[in-house]
Amino acid sequence: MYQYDTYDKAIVQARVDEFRDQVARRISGELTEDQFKPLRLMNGLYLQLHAYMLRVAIPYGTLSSDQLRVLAGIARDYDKNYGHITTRQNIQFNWIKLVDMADILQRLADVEMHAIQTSGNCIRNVTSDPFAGATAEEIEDPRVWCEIIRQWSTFHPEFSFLPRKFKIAVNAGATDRAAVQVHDIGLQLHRNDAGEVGFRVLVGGGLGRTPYIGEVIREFLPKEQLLSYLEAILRVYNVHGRRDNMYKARIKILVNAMGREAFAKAVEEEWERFRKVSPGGSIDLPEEERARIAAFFKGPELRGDAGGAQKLEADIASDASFAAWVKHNVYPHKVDSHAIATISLKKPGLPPGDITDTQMEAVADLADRFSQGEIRTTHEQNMVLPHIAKSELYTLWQELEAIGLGTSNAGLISDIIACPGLDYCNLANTRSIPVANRIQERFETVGIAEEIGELKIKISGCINACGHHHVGHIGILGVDKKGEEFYQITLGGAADEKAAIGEVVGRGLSTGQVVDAVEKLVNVYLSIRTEDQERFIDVYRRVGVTPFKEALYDEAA
Amino acid sequence: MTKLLKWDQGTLIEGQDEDVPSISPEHDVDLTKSTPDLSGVERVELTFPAFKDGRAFTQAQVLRQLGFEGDIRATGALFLDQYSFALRCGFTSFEVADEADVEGIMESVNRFPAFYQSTAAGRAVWERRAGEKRG
Repeated sequence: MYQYDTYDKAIVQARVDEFRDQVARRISGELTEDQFKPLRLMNGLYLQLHAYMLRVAIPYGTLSSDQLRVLAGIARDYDKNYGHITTRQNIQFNWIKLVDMADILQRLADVEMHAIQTSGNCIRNVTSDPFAGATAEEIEDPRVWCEIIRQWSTFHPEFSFLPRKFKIAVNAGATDRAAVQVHDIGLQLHRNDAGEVGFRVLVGGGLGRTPYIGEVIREFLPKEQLLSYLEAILRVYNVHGRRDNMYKARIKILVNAMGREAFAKAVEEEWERFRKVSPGGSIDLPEEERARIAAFFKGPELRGDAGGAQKLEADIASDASFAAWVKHNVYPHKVDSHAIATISLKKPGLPPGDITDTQMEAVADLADRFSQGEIRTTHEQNMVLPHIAKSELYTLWQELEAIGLGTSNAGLISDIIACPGLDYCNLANTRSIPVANRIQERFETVGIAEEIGELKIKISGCINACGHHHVGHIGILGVDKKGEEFYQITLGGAADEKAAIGEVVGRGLSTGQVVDAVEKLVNVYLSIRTEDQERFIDVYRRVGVTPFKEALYDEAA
Repeated sequence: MTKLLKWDQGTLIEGQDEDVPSISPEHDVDLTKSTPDLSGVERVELTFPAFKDGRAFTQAQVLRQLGFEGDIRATGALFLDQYSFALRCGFTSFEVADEADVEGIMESVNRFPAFYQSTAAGRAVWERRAGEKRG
């Protein structure tokens, strides 16, 4: 993974020193909360219902074991012994005291981490495929470009006070695990007819109050021209994005108002003009610097694993629980002797995406023993160990089981994305975590999660959609009606390469009805699927909303 | 009441306003499309109507990219930590409140030893890396 040089270190250290001064000025009363707010928001520090919340950037979801240990230490020393993995691959701490902030940032800086641009109307942490560098599906490692974007966007002089926040995702394989179609800019690496590698550029995707699937504005952008093209997009947005209404300020609203073609034309014109007039030549990174950064992502030399595949077969045959974990949580590696393992942070009954300090330390140790010291975080709020020899999967799983992280539900009905909701968030209308837990409990009791197969449930506690309900196969949106919590169901959403915004099924359901409703939807699915392999989303796409709607509302009527 | 800060050889000093040919495009004008006639112009004044409104950063960058070498003056709602961004976009003078904390602004401006972007104010980290490698 990328390692800081003296410049990177100096920049992050300067940020820590700066924030230490700013916090001291706030605590002494020299700065009012109004004056301090924009400063803390530039360092990922939010004021929530009960305390400050700190969002730490995990660039493109890649962590070393040492970094994870530092996150564990922060959870232990400054929080209530846990952290929360977010849908943008970051980690949040929910119980931070202002007086501790500078020390926390220093601990992060010491392991080449920071909280820069994890909030505010700027270019946020770039996200990517959690299997990057380990999957055979990718054309090349997308994290090289993520790191280039990270550097280019850090303290960008022109684009740090945009109309609204700005999120970029990069994916490099046919399977989209980075949700590029629902980002402000989605970059998909692919080959053109000439066999060259470049980016398909999508703009204006997003969830929130007004969900959109991104529009392709350029089918093929030569890789080496990425930064100048991004500058052109951001410049059009900075000049023309709405600033009169924060709910209409995202780039998706601008793209939709201008239309795809007009927006693309404006970008192309600016790109051409900008490349001609820029006094220092193009902003694009020279090949030398790209190669320097790319060298950090060569990946480990994975040793052979003689007899590993046979041992794995035998382990699977001997232990049904392990077999289930392999089936759901293990993914093929580009090196045949190895595998990619998802660590589920969705143990039924616990807040989705939470991980304790001791679990973080244990995962760090397991990463050192089995996964070349590397860990990933996923936008589905899980973790990944990317490089496991097949012969060691069984031991790894047993160790994960021992610390409560062996849950074999990746992609299943209990692998729910949920926002923090009213338990933490001052924007939320309703709670999300308890709903997720009740759904998990229902299907654990019924014991049919296996039979149901892949089913992505996503829950948001308000229309800001942090739980990504729009792109859930089943989406659940919490709304407040005259002081009472209601939940609206959407169906058919997806965040992968077949991204779609879910359709609202009907009127909102009460807290008491929502779990029954999910069970009814599942029963409809099971009754009309044509074969075991036909997933919930496939059935929905085949038959549409009607049978599901009838099941939900006919009985209640 | 306001005072004037001018960027002069790496520092901000209080200065007097001079009567020079100047223009003041509105903050919402797209200078890439409505390029003003800059011939004879010695100063362009740009406004930040609110600190969150970063359009003038783009306006200044565009002016520098067009080759404008005169004074670019910021008026309006910049807060202390934004001066570094403004200088890097090519601003060279600032109309600030009388009580503005010039020392604090300078501390903020001098805080960072390097930036990743190549701007009017300096070379990008990648250029410096390449320079070192070549020796």
